[in-house]
Amino acid sequence: MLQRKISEIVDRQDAKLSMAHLTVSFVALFLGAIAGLLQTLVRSGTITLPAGIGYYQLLTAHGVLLGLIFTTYFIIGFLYAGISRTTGKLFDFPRRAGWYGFYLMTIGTVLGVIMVLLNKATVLYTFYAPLQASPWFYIALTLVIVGSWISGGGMFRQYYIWKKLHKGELSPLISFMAVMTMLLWLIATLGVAVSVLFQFIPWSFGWVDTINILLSRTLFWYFGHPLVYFWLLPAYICWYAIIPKIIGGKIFSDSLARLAFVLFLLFSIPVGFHHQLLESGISPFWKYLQVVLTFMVIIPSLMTAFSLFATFELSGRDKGATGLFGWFKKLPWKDARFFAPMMGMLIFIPAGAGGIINASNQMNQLVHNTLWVTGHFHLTVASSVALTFFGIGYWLVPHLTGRKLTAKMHKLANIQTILWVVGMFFMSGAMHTVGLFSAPRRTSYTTYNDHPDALGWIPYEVAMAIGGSILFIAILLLMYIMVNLGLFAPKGVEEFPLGELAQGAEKTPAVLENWKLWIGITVALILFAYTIPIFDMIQHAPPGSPGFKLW
Amino acid sequence: MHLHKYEKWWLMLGGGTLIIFLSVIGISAFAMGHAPPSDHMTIDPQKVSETKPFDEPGLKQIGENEYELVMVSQAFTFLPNEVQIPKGATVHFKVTSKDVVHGFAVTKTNINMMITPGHINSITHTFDEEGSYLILCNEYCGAGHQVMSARIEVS
Amino acid sequence: MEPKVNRKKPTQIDLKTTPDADKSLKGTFISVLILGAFIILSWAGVYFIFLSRL
Repeated sequence: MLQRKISEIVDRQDAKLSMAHLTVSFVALFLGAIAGLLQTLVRSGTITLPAGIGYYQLLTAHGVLLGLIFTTYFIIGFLYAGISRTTGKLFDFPRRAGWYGFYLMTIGTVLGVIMVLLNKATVLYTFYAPLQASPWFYIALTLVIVGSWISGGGMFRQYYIWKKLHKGELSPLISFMAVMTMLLWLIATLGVAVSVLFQFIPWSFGWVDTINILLSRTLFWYFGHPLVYFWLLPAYICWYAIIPKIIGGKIFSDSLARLAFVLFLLFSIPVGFHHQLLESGISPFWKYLQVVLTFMVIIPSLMTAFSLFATFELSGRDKGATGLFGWFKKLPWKDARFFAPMMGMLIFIPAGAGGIINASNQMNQLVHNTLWVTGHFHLTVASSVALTFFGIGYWLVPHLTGRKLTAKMHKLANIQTILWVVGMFFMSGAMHTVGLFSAPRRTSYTTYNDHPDALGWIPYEVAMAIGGSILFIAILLLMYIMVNLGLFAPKGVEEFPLGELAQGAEKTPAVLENWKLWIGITVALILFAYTIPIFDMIQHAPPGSPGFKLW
Repeated sequence: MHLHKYEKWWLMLGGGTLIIFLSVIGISAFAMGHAPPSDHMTIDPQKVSETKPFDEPGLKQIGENEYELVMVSQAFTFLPNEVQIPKGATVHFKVTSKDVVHGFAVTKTNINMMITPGHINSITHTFDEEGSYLILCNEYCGAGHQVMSARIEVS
Repeated sequence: MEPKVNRKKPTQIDLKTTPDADKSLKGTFISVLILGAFIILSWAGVYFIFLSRL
């Protein structure tokens, strides 16, 4: 059998592709963070923006740059590196696809940012109709998504060729997870692509007069929830497949890790209604049905919690830990590659608990569109995911640029993590609390004519600004570390940590790689959860809405 | 696939807890009438002011201490803007939008719903406590979104 | 935030009788139980607020 020789260092050319993605990702992170800082200062009444810049313009920039650009670029850069590391140097087609995707996404990103800066797209990253942005904003988003599909296609191709060359063998764990992540992304983005191509673009160009609001929102949220799993799965890749190596342990179970990813594919898509629980035009039955499906997607996260604690405990016991929690002290707390993702994992506990509350049908009335929700996803994506991505960056950037993560950078990175956790504690904690008092999200500074209920929010908004300021300092530190690791750190070889299975580990069932089966079930679940309600939305649609530009 | 004994226990406990959560909210929604606001009525969003009952927004008594409150949301106000109701009144809110998507939330209550143009949304609440309740739009609707509010005075 | 050793050890756990006896995952089990308790308490807390505002 033809065996490819796998180097422990990502091929130089592949490294360039990944670094290009990571660079755009961190630039977007920096710009988005500036917007974020200003938002917290405006919201608390601390500053007033100079004329010409709107709060909602900043909010659009923050959401698009961080939710869409920072994440997608980082993920594609990381996954390409992971695939190259585990299946060997990229073949010609996958590498070219990666670059085509990169250029297309970048054209889209630049165009989109220009539209936001020109104040022609102040519709927030959810771009709810009938607020109507310039058609070029929607075209820009289309380019980003189509670009990411091409990159995903490149990864599928690399995996496919590897499987052809290694008939009957189990694919490397990271490549399997990368393919699963991009597959989830592909299926999810179909919804928003349909909505943008067939609803938003014709409507914003004026080719049609009106738009079906409920349908556009439903197609958006068909995409909007799996989007958060698209952010989360690469973090899970780090937790399952990379962290065990860093802590000197073994992967707890290859099969369980793959099974978790399969379950995420199945259950993260047919659940978009839990973002639309308070909307008219969708019956309580279908809402509740999707709530049940949403709860199914909690199961793989419960499995993950067990697997991760087990990895920690087993490796700690191997190192001689005793007692119930002795292993906890054996973890390499001073290692930045571990500390940042570990904080991310711990933060996922309150983040997950909050998510269960959000999805709990009528309990959503308590928190929907309040700052609670903003607090929630600043724990999930902006802490669990972001800290894990930072933790990946600490070794991936020097690995790709042929440099070393120095002791000094380890130390700074750990300070970065602590600042992040403290800043987020203030910001997200205040958001969660004041959200329960009905303080709305996505709202500029207001006291509603000094209504006592609204005046009571102000101390929390100040706490948010304090937290936001600490977070911004953390971002400055992160930028310093990343620039150092990419350009100035001493030359050398930084390891790409790759978790290994324990000796004599149980064989992974081949069915977990049966893509036709999993895609089939996914499609069936989507059709089950969405067909009747969407048919109803079209059948019983009210007259559509013309566009509005109210900013 | 082999599962560690504790992992089996954990998944059974976790799964069981989720089933309990789902049962509690399911029973509350379908047997006790607490399903989230999901009105199925539609309206022509460009003819709101000519369509009953939104041609005359306001409070209408329909029973003993029971009212229907018809409201129109539009950038960046609610109509009516201030409502007085007696303590203990049960109010059936009926709201639609003349332009873009708005939110409709009332502080200190569970009232929170989306107002999408073309659709009517409705919710019922009994105001047992005196005080000033703030109605606010909690869905971004444009440059003046942060001023969009109204008040309910319960006395 | 992190599990501390201040919880009672469950007495019903007997490692010796299981095929997993070589892998002690007691700490893991207690950790996830604490996690589960946190989820239940948060959820119940918010549900209680929901009921109080009906």
